[in-house]
Amino acid sequence: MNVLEVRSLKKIYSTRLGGNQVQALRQVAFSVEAGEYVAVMGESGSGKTTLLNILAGLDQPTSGQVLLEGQDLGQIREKDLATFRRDHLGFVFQDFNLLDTFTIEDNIYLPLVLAGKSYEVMHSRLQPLAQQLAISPILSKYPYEVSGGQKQRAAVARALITGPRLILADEPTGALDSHATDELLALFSQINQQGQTILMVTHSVKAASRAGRVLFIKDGVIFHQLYRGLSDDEQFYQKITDSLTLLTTGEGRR
Amino acid sequence: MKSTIYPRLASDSMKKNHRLYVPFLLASSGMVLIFYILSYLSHSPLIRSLRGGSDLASIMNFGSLVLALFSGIFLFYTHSFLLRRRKTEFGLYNILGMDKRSLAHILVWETLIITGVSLLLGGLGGILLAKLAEASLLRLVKSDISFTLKVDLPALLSSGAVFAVIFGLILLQSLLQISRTNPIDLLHSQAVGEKPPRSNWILAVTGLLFLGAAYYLALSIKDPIAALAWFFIAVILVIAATYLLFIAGSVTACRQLQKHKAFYYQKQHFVALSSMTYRMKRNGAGLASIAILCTMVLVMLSSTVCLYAGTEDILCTRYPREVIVSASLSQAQSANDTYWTDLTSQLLTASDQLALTPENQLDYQYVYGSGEISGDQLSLKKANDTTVPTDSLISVIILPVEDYNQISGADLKLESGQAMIYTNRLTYTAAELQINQAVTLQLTQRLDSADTLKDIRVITEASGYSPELVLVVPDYASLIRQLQQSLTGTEPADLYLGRIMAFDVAGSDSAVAEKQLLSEWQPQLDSLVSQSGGRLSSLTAEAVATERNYYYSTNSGMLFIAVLLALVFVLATVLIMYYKQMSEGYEDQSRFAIMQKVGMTPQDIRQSINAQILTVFLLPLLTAGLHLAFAFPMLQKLLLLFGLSNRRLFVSVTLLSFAVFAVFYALIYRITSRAYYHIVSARPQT
Ligand SMILES: Nc1ncnc2c1ncn2[C@@H]1O[C@H](COP(=O)(O)OP(=O)(O)O)[C@@H](O)[C@H]1O
Ligand SMILES: [Mg+2]
Repeated sequence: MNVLEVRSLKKIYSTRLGGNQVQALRQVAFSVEAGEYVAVMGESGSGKTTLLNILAGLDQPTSGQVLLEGQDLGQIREKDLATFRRDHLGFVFQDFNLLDTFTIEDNIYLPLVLAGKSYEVMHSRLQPLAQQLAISPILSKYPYEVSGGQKQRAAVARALITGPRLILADEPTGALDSHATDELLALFSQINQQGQTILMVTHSVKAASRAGRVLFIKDGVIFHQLYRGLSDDEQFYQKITDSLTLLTTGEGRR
Repeated sequence: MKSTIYPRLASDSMKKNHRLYVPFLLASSGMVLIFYILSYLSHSPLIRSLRGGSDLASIMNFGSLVLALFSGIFLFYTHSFLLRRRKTEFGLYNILGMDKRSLAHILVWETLIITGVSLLLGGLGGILLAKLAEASLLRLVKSDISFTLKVDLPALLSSGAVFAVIFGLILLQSLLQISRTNPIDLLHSQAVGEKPPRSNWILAVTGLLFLGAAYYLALSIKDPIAALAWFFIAVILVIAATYLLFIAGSVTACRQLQKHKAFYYQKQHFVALSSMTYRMKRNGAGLASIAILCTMVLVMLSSTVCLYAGTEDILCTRYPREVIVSASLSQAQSANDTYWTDLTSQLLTASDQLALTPENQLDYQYVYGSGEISGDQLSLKKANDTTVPTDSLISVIILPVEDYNQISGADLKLESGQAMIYTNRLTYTAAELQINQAVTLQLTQRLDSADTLKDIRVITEASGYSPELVLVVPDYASLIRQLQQSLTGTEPADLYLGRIMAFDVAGSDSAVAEKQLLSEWQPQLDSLVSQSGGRLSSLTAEAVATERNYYYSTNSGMLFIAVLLALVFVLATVLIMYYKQMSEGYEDQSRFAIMQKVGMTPQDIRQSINAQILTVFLLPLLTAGLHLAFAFPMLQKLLLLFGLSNRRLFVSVTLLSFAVFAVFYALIYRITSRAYYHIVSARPQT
């Protein structure tokens, strides 16, 4: 079964005064299978964040359906949505979204505390994760005391600790320097190889080239997709840039 | 840049930030309004024309001074909050190429607008309400003078001047702040990586110690006037302790709870406790201020309401009858001496002419002195003898047995050398009492039950809060002579020999007649003294009717001031609370957005918010209640100074004030927390 299935999604933002309307998503449909690592790639303003917010149930689509593990998000009642999100999804954001009032450790525990887990359970779950993400030394620090890369790894730990079916990442490398970007991408590949399903939206070719499949989004429409096939990271990078040039120049000729 | 752009920029940004500026303007206008009313009343000819009116006017004057000082401090404090939120905007202007001189221009215009609006609104409101205030003050004073509306220019000018100075100072401070920071800091001044709050045991414990010391002082000070310095130390300690405990103590307590893992890592506690820690760090000072303001309001209201409500009580104790003639004697008069009866009947002929019928007549003599008790020895001292600490001094009153019997209707029989004793606020158990080692009395009778108290209340209870010892003796005149002789070396004036003749006038509406009687008597009194051949050293006559006005005008003046100041303090509380809610709202907005993303349900969020808000709401109120409880004994002693000894009245008035205030406070909180919810529930811009 598909972990995620998106059917003809449409999203129109209307400004408060009712005047202008922005069509952020026109017609989006795709699906993600278990164990896949999918990147949605597009320029700024193409509707990536809108898409992700809808997938997470943080925002309602104007029309269309989102099925998570066969469950229609639109059918879940508002008050159960948060619990559903907590139990099935993990988030990684561009700006980390760590709470500055918590230590790194407490930030990671947050979803588990909300789920009512005891300290012992949380602690034993954190140990292997912290090891793998190399954040053991900074657990007792506060977000403002650690680097961007460390913050993002902590955010990944927070996303993983509930054992979610799907990780949603919105430009996770957007605020990182190139070294921290490489580290984070390596980490994503690693956890994907362990079987974690990941959906990442990004505008960076480098980040997209680490995924197993890339969907290209523009003006709210997914207009192309590329599978990695047997190519390695560099070859896939090349394939993506080639497609991009082809697509843009092709468009230019039209 | 053209010069018209600055007023435009200033007014535009004030409009844009109306959620911040409107409350500030309302509060400052309110302060101008109340200031105008106070200074209007302080030189209102109507008020001055009342008996006790000049006292009333100076109370108002004092009140306006306190108000000016408080307004200054308070407006400074809240404006700094405004400025903090505006700094980002200034930083942006600065980076966009507006130099600091231009920013200063904007600030100047802003101040001008604030001053103008506050003075206009406050002045207009003041003019409209001043008459209402005067009317209610006159009502309180129980005067029935009518009046017309008029504008008081001097009051208007002084309000303008005072608040212009305050806003000028605020402007100076803002300019100083803007000039000292660089643009990048301005831009980021709201979002500096805040260090997590740390436990501070030293400050927390200091706070506890201060509080303990202050409470101990409050309970142990016997005489607030003699121990005035300690009294002030206690007040300062309480204020310091409140700040320390709210700022450091609360954070330390939260931190301590967080170490408790099983407690901390629970859904209900986790988020609430950690944000509470930050909240207290940021708003501890604001909350402490609220707690102190609440305490002040409660203290002022409960004591002045009590004083006002107890005015009749006070009058009753001070003036047991409606008309009182009191004389100061040079020698005690023996029971068969007719001089005094002749004199009083001479005076009473005047009342016959006025067709007044005296009733409940009271006639007695007494000796008043102060002394010190050790063992069964009572030594009479000079009241202002500096070698005796005041709080060990007691009041001593001696009455002849005939007069006591006549006052109380009792039939007390005492042999020579015996006495009846009554004590108030002190215990004396020995069977004998030796006075100045000259006179020894066997205390064969004791009066200590509350029901007989009112018989003797007529004489005692007027001397304030010092302990009293009352002796009823036979052979009064010779005993007093003996005592006077024992006081050789000191002046005989140390014992005050008094004689009282007092009576009520029949009919309930006798006030006018009583005043008439007094004016009839007035010319006679002096000549009676000079004709007395040295028997009398003074003779005075008083009527409650005239004293009543006087008492009401001071007591109601204090009540009035207290209510106005309480209003101002409440205004301040509202504004501090509002800004606190606003700033917390902005801080929590993004935080709750994140929490929602990681799976916190809206109910969880609401629950956590409610828990925090309730704590923050209750803390200052409970603190104020606690302070009030410990201040209670001291306040009671102060009220005794004003002649109010009705404990039950004071307790109930205090409880009532607290209850009313709590309701009011809850209302304020509801309104201001709406601002908070409004901000928190708005979607943060992405
Ligand atoms: N809350 C909103 N209200 C109105 N328009 C929005 C809102 N959020 C996004 N948009 C518009 O929708 C389009 C897609 O935005 P977004 O999903 O943020 O793109 P991306 O994440 O790819 O940069 C943009 O044109 C943006 O201006
Ligand atoms: Mg985006």
